[in-house]
Amino acid sequence: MVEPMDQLSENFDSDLREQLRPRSAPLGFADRVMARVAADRAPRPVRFPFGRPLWRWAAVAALVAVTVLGGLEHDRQQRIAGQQAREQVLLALRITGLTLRQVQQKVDAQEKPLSDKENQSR
Amino acid sequence: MRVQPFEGAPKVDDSPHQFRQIVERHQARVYSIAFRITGDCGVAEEVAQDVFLELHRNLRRLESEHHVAAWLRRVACHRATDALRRRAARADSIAEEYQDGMALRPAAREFIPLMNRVEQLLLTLPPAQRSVMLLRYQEDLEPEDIALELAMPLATVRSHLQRAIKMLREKAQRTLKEYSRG
Amino acid sequence: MPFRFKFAAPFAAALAVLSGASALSAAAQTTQPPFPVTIEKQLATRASEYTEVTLDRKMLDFASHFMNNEDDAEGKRIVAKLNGVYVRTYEFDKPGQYTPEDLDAIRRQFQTAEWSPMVKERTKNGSDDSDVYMKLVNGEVQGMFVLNAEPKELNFVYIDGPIRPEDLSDISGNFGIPAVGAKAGTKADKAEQKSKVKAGQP
Repeated sequence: MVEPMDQLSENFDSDLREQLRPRSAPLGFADRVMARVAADRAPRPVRFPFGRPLWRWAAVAALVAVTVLGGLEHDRQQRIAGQQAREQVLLALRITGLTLRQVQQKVDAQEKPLSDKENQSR
Repeated sequence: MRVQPFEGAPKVDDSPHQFRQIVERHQARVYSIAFRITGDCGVAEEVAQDVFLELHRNLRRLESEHHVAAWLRRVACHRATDALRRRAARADSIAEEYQDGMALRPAAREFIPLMNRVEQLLLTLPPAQRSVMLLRYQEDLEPEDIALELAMPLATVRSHLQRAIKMLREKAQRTLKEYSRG
Repeated sequence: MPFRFKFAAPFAAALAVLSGASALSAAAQTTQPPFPVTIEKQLATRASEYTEVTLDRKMLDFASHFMNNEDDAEGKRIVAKLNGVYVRTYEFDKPGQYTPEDLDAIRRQFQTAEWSPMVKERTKNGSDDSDVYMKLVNGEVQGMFVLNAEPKELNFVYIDGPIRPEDLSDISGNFGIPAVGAKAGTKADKAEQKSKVKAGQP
C-alpha cells in the first residue's frame, strides 16, 4: 500500500528519529578505552616517532611557527586594509551627502517666491 | 547554555572510576556517530576509542556534563569525517582495496551489525550532511545548536538539512515504489 | 607645494601588496568610472586640495565586512546593492581653475538615452552649475550622477547601482551631513561643515 505524500512526510521524520537512535557500542568497548587510557597515563620515554632526527622536527616546528605567524600577520594586515576600506566608503558617502545638499540648497534658492526676490531688489 | 556541575564530582576529577562512568554514559552516542559517518564498524571503534582518549586528555578543560556531551559530539563528527577521508585517499589502487578487504573480512564477518535502511541511505550523503543529520535526528539538536557545535553558519546547517532530507526522501520513495511494484 | 590628498591609485596598490587576497588584488584592477581621466588629471594639477575615491563592487563588498559598528549600519545598507561609488572633489585657491568645457566633458558620459536630467543649473562661466542625472532602466533607478560647481570648488559623484530616493535622504541626512532641505548656512558654516566631512566627525 502506497502511503499518501503528507503521511509519508510525517512518518519519514519520525522514521528518521526511530532508526537513528543511538546503537550500542560493541561489547567490551569501555574496557578497551580504559586500557588505552591507562597506557596513555604511563610515563613514556622521550623519543621522536619513526626515529627521525631532532633537527628535522625542529625544522617542522619552525615551519609551523612561520606559517602560523605568517597567517596571523596576514590577518592583521587584512584587518588594517579592511578598516581603511571602511573609512573610504564612509568618506565617499559623506561627500555624496554634502554634494547633494549643496545642489538642493541651490535648487531651493531658485524656487524662492518671485515676490521675495522683487522685495530684495528694491 | 546553562553550566551545570558534574553530578557529585569535582570539576577536574579525571580519576579512572569517574572517567569510566563518562565512557559508559556516552559510548553509544560516540560510537553511533562514528559508525554512521564511516559506515565501517572497525573504523568506527577505532575512531570512538580515539575520541575518548582525547577526552581524557582534555577533561580538565570541560566544566559540565552538558559540555562533555557537546565536546564529544563535535569531536566524534570531525574524527569520523577525517577517518572517512583518509580511507578514501588510501584506497587508490585495486590491490590496496583488496588487501584492506582481506584484512577486514574475518573481523567484518564476525562483528558487522546490520545497517538499517536509514543508516544505509545516510552513507549516500556527503560527510558534512551526515554530521548535520546525525546531530539533528540522533542527538535531537536544534539547527542553532548544531551550528554552534560544528562551528558552521546557521544558514549552512539549514541548507545541509534541507538537501539531505530531500535526497533521503527521494531515495526512500524510489525504494517504496520498487517495493510496491514488487 | 600644493597639498595633495589622492586616494584611489596608491591606496589600491598598497592594499594589493599588503594582503594579496583575491578581493584586494582585484582592487588593483578597479573598474574605472566613466569620468574622463585627462580632465581629472588636469583638475588635480590645478587644485590646492583634492579627494578621489573609487570603490567598485569588490571594494564595497570587502569594506562591508568591516562595517559592523552600530553607526555603520546605514552606510552598509546603502552600499549593499551598489556596483560602485566614485567621488571626486577639488578645491582651488582662486576661481577660474576649470572651464564650462571641462564640465561638459564630465557630463557627456551621462547624457546618453538611459540617463535623465533631474536638475540642470547653468551659469555663465559654469562656476555655479549643478546637475543631477538619474539612470533609469525599466523604470528603476540604476545610477545617479551629481555635479556641483562653485567658484573655488568642484564636486562630482557617480553612484552605479540601484539607489532609492530614501537612500538619498539618508545620505544627505547622515554621516555628519544635515538632511536635504535644511537651511543654508553662512560661508563659515559651509567651511566648517566641509572640514567635518573630511575629519569624519558627526
